[in-house]
Amino acid sequence: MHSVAVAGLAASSDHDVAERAPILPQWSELIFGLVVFAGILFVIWKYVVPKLEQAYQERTAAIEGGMEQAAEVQKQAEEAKSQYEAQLADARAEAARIREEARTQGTQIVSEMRAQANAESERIIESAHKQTEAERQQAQVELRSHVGRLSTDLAGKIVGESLQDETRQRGIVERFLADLESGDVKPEKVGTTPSEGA
Amino acid sequence: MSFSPLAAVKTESFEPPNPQEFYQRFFGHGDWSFTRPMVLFLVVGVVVCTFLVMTTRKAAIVPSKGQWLTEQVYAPIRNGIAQDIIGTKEFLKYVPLLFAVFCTLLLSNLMSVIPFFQFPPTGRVAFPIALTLFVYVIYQAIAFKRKGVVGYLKSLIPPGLPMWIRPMILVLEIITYFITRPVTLALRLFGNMFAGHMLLLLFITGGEFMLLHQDGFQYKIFGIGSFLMAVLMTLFEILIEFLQAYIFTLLAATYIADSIATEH
Amino acid sequence: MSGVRMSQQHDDAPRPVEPKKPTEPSKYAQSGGLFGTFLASSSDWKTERPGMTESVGVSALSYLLSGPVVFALIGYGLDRWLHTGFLVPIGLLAGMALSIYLIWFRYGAE
Repeated sequence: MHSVAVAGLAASSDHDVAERAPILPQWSELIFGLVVFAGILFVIWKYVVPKLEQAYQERTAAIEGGMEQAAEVQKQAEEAKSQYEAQLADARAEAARIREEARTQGTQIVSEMRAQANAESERIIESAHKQTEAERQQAQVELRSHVGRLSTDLAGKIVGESLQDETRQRGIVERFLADLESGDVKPEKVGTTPSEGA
Repeated sequence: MSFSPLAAVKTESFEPPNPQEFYQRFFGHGDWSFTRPMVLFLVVGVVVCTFLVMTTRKAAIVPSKGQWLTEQVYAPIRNGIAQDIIGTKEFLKYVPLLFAVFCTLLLSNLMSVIPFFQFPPTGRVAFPIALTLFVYVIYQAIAFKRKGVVGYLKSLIPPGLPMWIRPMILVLEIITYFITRPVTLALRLFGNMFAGHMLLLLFITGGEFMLLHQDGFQYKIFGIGSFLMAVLMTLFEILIEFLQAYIFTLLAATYIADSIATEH
Repeated sequence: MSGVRMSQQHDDAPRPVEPKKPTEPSKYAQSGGLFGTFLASSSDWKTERPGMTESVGVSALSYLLSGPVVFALIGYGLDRWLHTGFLVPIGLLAGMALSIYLIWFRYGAE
């Protein structure tokens, strides 16, 4: 037990060291342990930790940079989206405008066409009227001349008096016809008064 | 054949593993011999340094597999221990020490179960003491530098104690801070590794003895049971080895944090 | 000592920028790591000071060890000096009581 207590720098035998209480160190091991651990500590302090810290720092920066970049991209995307939406709205408005225009144009065309058609039909009716009138007048004129001649012929035959004299003849017939038109001449029957004839 | 073990004992008897077996010298004698734990600790140092330098030499934002693995160990030490305990302001200074302590201890402890090595250098008290000395010197130096001798001693007494009890508490605190803490820090680790290794040795040598050097069917069963137990204990040991490396690092960080803290 | 120089020299080394929000657990820590589950509770340990249940337990144990031992030793010294024989157990008990009182005072009050 005594050798255990004084286990010091004095060189001790193998037996002493082997029999020493396990909680008392062997000097060579202690010094060797200090030296080796100092070496490990030096390497880690000088080479390992700085590298790891550098990587860590870079990683933190990269993560933060990545976040900034992502925010930038999102901003851009939002801009593009709003731009696109604006364009879309423009296009919609344009389409609506075109449609509206087409509609107004269409109604205009229709009304124009209708007016045209109306005008045409009126023109046709008008010309038809005119033609009818002209034909009527022509017929009247012709009829008049025929009636005149026929009447004079008839009257001449009846009266026996030649009314070939053109000027007289025309004047009588004309007068008669005019009277007829104005209603002065009433068809008369023998034996009846003109007022009772209606 | 009776069931009594004594009846089956052959001429040779079982010698349980003893602490003397932890002294395994290669050359030299006594206190100045070069021992197997030293070789193992050197291997630990070389492996730790080589692996860490190799994996972090080209440290990148997107880590390689090796760097990733290193970071999986580094991040808990840096953030889980150093930053949480020492505080965000000053922890970076102490990260190398804590990381070195953890890596060294983890691999040293695991040497207990790594084939061909199968001996934890931390099962020799000199190595836990060596690491504790680093931690001890650093945390005491910080405390004396920050607070001065009087300030340090004052900071040991919690405020609000009755006057008459303070001297006794001061003695208790000084002993705790200057002796008990480092001693328990080293001995806790050593004890766990030493006892764990002894236990594994016991189950393996015992199993081997019962299986090969004993007659009787029941000893074969016991031998196999002993080996199975050794396997189970090995798994348990791995857990203990992680845990002890972690606790040592955690306490080192706590002691440093105590030295930095201005108010107590 | 080399260890002390180490911590001082590190001040000159390029210091990485600290995380902006120290209150939040850093992204680094959230990665979990190899011992993610093992260390997961580390952030929960932050009680009043950043001393955690584990270290409190260890400190308490340290006090419980040092108290009886120190005062028993003092008692032993006094016994030798005064040629008495009862001061070792008294020291032992007093040390234990003192340790428990200190532990209660430091950690139990909250």
